[in-house]
Amino acid sequence: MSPLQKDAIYCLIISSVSVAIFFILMLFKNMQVAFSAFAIFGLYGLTPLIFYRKSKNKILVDERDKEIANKAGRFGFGLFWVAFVIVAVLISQIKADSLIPASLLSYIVFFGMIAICAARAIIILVLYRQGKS
Amino acid sequence: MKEPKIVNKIRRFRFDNNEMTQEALADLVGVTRQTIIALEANKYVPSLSLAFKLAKAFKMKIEDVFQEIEE
Repeated sequence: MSPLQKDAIYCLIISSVSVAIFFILMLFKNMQVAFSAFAIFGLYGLTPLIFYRKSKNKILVDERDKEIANKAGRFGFGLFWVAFVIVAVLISQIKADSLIPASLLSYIVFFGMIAICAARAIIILVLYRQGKS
Repeated sequence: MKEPKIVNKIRRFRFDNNEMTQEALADLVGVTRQTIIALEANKYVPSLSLAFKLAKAFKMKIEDVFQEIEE
């Protein structure tokens, strides 16, 4: 398994755990406390230290891996952007004053970040499974 | 217009070269073994630079290793 595949699996686990804890805290505590669940998502920042450590003679990432990562990244960001615009337009249409509350914007951004990473991870795993790039 | 498919003879040349392993070829051209597997299955078209490295590894011309076929 390549480091990129391990990275994708790790990302899916971190994303799922963050979202699950967010909803658990939201049920039993409040939104403010639930927001702290996203701190777990910060663990994704450890990816380079865990999976991309340089070893002497081993090639970790080559041109095909980079191509897959680029393709998946573009798809993930595209998905986030579409979802972000749809959510923003819906909120402004539903609300009487047509304004998006600043507090809600931070939730959209955090869920957006998770959506980008999760979509990217899924596409990476699918492309590797198909053997294509 | 449909794009022509690019196929290769990497697997054949690997066996012709003292049954070189995928790992050995991967190390020789600077890619991972997974990429060699994808190349041999014609599921990945390499960059020009990698194609030249592969041809050089087999001491062949690039057109001997890679062919364009109409589907």
